[in-house]
Amino acid sequence: MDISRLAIGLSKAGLEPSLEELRDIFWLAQQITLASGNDPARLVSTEASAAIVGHAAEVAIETAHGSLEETAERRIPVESPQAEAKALYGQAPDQIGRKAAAGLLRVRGVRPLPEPIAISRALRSLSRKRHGNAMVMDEQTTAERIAATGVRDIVYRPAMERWFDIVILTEQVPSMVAWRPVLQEFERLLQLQRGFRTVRTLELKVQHRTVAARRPDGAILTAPELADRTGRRLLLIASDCTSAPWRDGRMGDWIKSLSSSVPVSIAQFLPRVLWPNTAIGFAELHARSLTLAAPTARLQIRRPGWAVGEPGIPVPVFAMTPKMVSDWARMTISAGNAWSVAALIPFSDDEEPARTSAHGLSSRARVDRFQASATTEALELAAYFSVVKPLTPPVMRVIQSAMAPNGDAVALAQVFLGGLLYPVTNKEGSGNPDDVVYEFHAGLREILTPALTSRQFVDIHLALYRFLQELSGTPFDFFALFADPEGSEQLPLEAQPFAIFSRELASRFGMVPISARERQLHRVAALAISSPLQGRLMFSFNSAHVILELLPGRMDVIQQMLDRASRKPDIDLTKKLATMFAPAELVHELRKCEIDEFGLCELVLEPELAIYPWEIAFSDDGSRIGMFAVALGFTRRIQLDVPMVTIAKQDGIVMALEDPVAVTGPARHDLRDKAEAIERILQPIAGNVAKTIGMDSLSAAKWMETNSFRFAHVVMRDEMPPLELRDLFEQEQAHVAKLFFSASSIPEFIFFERPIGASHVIALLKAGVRVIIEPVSNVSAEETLAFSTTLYKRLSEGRTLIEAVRDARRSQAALGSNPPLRAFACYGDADWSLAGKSEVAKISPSLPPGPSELKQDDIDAPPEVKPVTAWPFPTHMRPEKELYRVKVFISNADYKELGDIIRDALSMSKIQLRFVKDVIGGKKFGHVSPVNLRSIRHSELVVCVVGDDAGFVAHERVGAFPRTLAESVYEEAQKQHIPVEILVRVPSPADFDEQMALHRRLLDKKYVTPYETGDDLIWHLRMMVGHLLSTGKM
Amino acid sequence: MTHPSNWKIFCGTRVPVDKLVYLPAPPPWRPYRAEVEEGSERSWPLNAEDDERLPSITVRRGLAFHATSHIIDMVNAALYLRRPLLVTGAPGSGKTSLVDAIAYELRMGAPLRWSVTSRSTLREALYQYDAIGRLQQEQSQGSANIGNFITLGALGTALLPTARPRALLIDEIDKSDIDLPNDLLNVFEEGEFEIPELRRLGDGDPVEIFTSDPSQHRVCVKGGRIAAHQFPLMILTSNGEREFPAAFLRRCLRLQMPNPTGQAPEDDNDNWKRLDAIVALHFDAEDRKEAKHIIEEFKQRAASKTALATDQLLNAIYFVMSSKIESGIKRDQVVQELTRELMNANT
Repeated sequence: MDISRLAIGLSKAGLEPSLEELRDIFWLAQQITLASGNDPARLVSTEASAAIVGHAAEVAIETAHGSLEETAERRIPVESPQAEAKALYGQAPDQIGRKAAAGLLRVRGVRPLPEPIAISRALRSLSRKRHGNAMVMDEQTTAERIAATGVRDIVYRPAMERWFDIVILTEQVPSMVAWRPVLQEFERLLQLQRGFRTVRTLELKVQHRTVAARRPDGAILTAPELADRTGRRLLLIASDCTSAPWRDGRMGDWIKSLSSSVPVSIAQFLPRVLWPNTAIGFAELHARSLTLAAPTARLQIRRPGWAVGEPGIPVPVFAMTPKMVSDWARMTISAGNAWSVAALIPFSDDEEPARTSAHGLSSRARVDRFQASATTEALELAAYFSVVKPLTPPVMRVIQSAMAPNGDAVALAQVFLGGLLYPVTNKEGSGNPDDVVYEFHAGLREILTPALTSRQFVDIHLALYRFLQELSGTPFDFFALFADPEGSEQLPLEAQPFAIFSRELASRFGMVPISARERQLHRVAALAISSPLQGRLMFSFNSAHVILELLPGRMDVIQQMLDRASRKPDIDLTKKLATMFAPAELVHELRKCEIDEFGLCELVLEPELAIYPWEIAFSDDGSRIGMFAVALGFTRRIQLDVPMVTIAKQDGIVMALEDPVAVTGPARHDLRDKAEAIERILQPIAGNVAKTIGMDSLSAAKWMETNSFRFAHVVMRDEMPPLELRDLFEQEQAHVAKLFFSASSIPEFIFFERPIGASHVIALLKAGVRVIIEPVSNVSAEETLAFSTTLYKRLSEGRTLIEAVRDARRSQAALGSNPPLRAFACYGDADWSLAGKSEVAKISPSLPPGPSELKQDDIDAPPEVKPVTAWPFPTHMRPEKELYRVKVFISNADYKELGDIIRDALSMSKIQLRFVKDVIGGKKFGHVSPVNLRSIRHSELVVCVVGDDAGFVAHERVGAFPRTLAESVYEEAQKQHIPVEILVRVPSPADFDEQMALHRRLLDKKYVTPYETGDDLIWHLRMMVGHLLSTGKM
Repeated sequence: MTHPSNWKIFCGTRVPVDKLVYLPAPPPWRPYRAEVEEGSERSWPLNAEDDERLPSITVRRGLAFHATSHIIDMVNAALYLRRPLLVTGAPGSGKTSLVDAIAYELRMGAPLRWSVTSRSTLREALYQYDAIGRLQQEQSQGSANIGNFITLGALGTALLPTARPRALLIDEIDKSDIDLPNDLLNVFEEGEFEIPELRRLGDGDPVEIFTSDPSQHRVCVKGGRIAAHQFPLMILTSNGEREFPAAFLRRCLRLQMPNPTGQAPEDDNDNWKRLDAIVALHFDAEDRKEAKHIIEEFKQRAASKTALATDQLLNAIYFVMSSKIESGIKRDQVVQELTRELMNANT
């Protein structure tokens, strides 16, 4: 056994075991082999992150070569040592100090102080010890002395204690509301560190001319009291340095009074990028301490040109990042040549800086000023707050955690610092800063509120509602916050003040329920989101539980979402699911206000309501509540503001799509007959109608790239496919829905004869389609014809969509079908009608050549498919530049196959593709090296496609830990600010476990787009490039 | 030497067995430091009756601990390699119970415990010497046997020679003074220490001193040196509040406790199978049926990344089962209080 080769293999895999560890591994492997004889690798499989599969194989081959001659008993399973080392030691010990720390900590929620452990490590250099003033009895020496001399005497010795005391000084300013969690965490961290003798917090009180430190009991501590001649006290002013004393010099004076006796430093809460907005400015000075904890006045200072001779006191300052804290700590103990950043704090006898008073500002000017300096997160937060009144710090935190769960204290602090708010009252005059009520300056709410969507308005109030319910302990109705026909006493005392303002605003967000629907909406709002269990969706519904069972079959999209949700708990996904289904009780409610005999409620995109039932179908056998909501039962109004492509102006098309599997037999004739029938009835409203017969969805998509229509009717086979082919059909359906995205402009009206799934419908609506008709489940040809005949007839008569759909349903019902399950669902504006658009249709100049010729052609022959060399995107997305460089990273042993797919998808004259390959197992391809990674700076877009293997970078260790290709590429691209797309194949259940684990790790990343098949990949790539082109990012 | 077909000594079966006899000799670099002197061996449980006589907390935890295959593998690796096992994990994931589960199943006797605080020192864990007490006695009675004033601490007791390793829990080591982990290193490596007060007496007669082990109150020490025969099984728990020096980590095996209320892949908790198993260990089928909605609700909240600990669920079920409180709003409120989120409780 060649151990050195194994060691090399291990270090390639990112593990650097020490001699002791190797020794342990070998010994243990041997024990296990002796004991079990069969499966020594058991220990391996337990480690979830078996990220080293590929290498394990590689190393195994190499080492197996060397050890073939060894006796069987000495054969140590090569795969186990490395994985074992991982399982046993987590990582190579040298990396433990750096990388593993994050893995050790598993804290949920946002930490107020990022990287607390690293900061704590940075402070470690301050935790030195010395003999203190306190004396302790030395038991041992005492006993010995008495034993030796017989004299009863006690011997004392000085106790060892930590060197430094830390005094944190805080200010009583409004933004402390935001900083308090940070401050508490910082304090806790200092306490936990146990590296300081004492950690105390004092408050700085701003008096008329001076600043003074105040003890918790209110006593004022003068500067000499704070000073410490023994050089053991560190004063830390924890502040955002924005309050008046910092600017007008009172703070500078105060620091100066202490500076000769004690080291004073500033712990700045704001990140360094925001410092220029504060009193410390760019902090371009540097300070060095020549003795241990030298008082501030005795620091050696390095000044930039402008600061030479400038009055003011230089004070070391650090932000709450490990690097800056470490610099400061090393400076304090005067370690080596350690410089810390410092800022110049002005004195009050300085010329008063010309400060514009914020008092007389107009509300518009205030907002402008805020917008100019605040980050996006802070702007959004201010808008969220603008719809809530009264505004207290706890309420702000609740709203921030609900609306921007990853937001930090910086965003909240900026809202306070932005001059938008002023404190109104302090309830009962208590000293608790959480009781202070803040109000926006006059006119500001009106400016900030319009930035919100109704969805956000609802979300904010849902958060508030939950908070109020917890606060009051009494359940009340969500909608009582907005409208309360039965009087305010229904609301608990705590919620009443909020309701007054919310009601004022509610109508502006379409939240006033219309009388008939009022009660139903009450109930919907009480719907609590819960997680799916075994294919079921559970609702808490006014505290009772309603379990909604999904019908098998039809809801594959939903089922997939459920599966995903149960695999990986994701509140967003669950929320989405919950909003997709209406509980059965609600359906009953809706039945009472029945609209027509079908039991279908056509409340289609009603503009006044933010929450509304969209379209609901239910079975009615009375015995059990086996109902389900079609597509979006309850949802909020979807955002239709950014259609992706323009809507086509004229003409219609009937597409008879061939099933991917059934290409022979009578199917074609059926299709042709159906298509012709539809063509006849579509003609009155669409004018010229083209037909394509017998294409599969992919060739249809290619054809659509150059043709566009206002109306599209997609004819498909009506019988259900055999069970074993279900999957193929599902895929095909997904493609049919995506088909329209490749069109050069999007149709206004689409009729699908077979269900395509709710999620696709949404995507199409978002893309700009106005009306979509789609059956709930498969409907027979006869009924489809009856329905569509009436529908098109009524539409051509100028009826609105909802009227036409109702009539069409009646004629379908005349055939005696089972309505709820065989109904056509309709998505779109209820008032949509043909009439409004007729002028547009009239000005149609000439037909595009493709389809009109087709019409005369033999319809059995598939239309000529144009080669894909043409620009595959709508013309308005045509790139400005001559050449775009896209760098494509492919991780796959089957590199060539994927490469072809990508080239096919993106091949166009204007885009130059540069392929970089990844290697697995030492094959002959090129490889991804740091050089290759860095070279992406010459490209406009970086794409990384990860295939069957998980894209493990073979020999590269980027940083300290082996990274997959996708992760390395993403990081590098982020670093260089180049748009990057990471596409990762969703593993099939047949894949190896190890691969699944690695894939899952990748797929969990937010920036990863999953794909399943090659077609999927093509579609994603095109969408992606198209999007970049259209948004001008490229 | 015969081996069982399975190399694992600890199997997580919650049934006491004498499998420790199959533990192979330690690796050559961690040899026995001393032999067990005749007549100085401690006693450990030999049969079911003895098992019941262990401290009730050990029995209870031993019967209710649910081990995953990852936990089992790491415990066995620690047993084989004679290395300490550093256990990290979410609150309520069973870090502290692990030692009881092992001691119970492997009949190691009552586990020794050392709860670390910021003031804990290595010396206090090794032994305590009551110099003043001895002085007093000597003053009043004329003579005082030094052995009566020395008591071995948990760690010191664990290092006493015995053929069957003792189990030792060093709880919340991350709360310790910053220097403690470094102080421990040497003891981990050498498995022996000296008591200078006894060493001073020379190699003459052995001195009888006190231990922290209830099954072996006193032990004879010769020359002030205490060295282990079998390394004790040391379980160190940490809440991850601080990081440890690399040298310390290198000497420990590390186990991230799977979280019964988590759904990450490493929690081995698909479909809450582990949480269900744990509840099933504490309550019978009837109780579980009655408390079904509490369990389901708990799972939903846990799934939505709320920080919850398993004890909260167990407490809630126990409360509902034992208090016979009528179901309704009142009960729901209490249950809600019991299962309040651990972090951000007052946002």
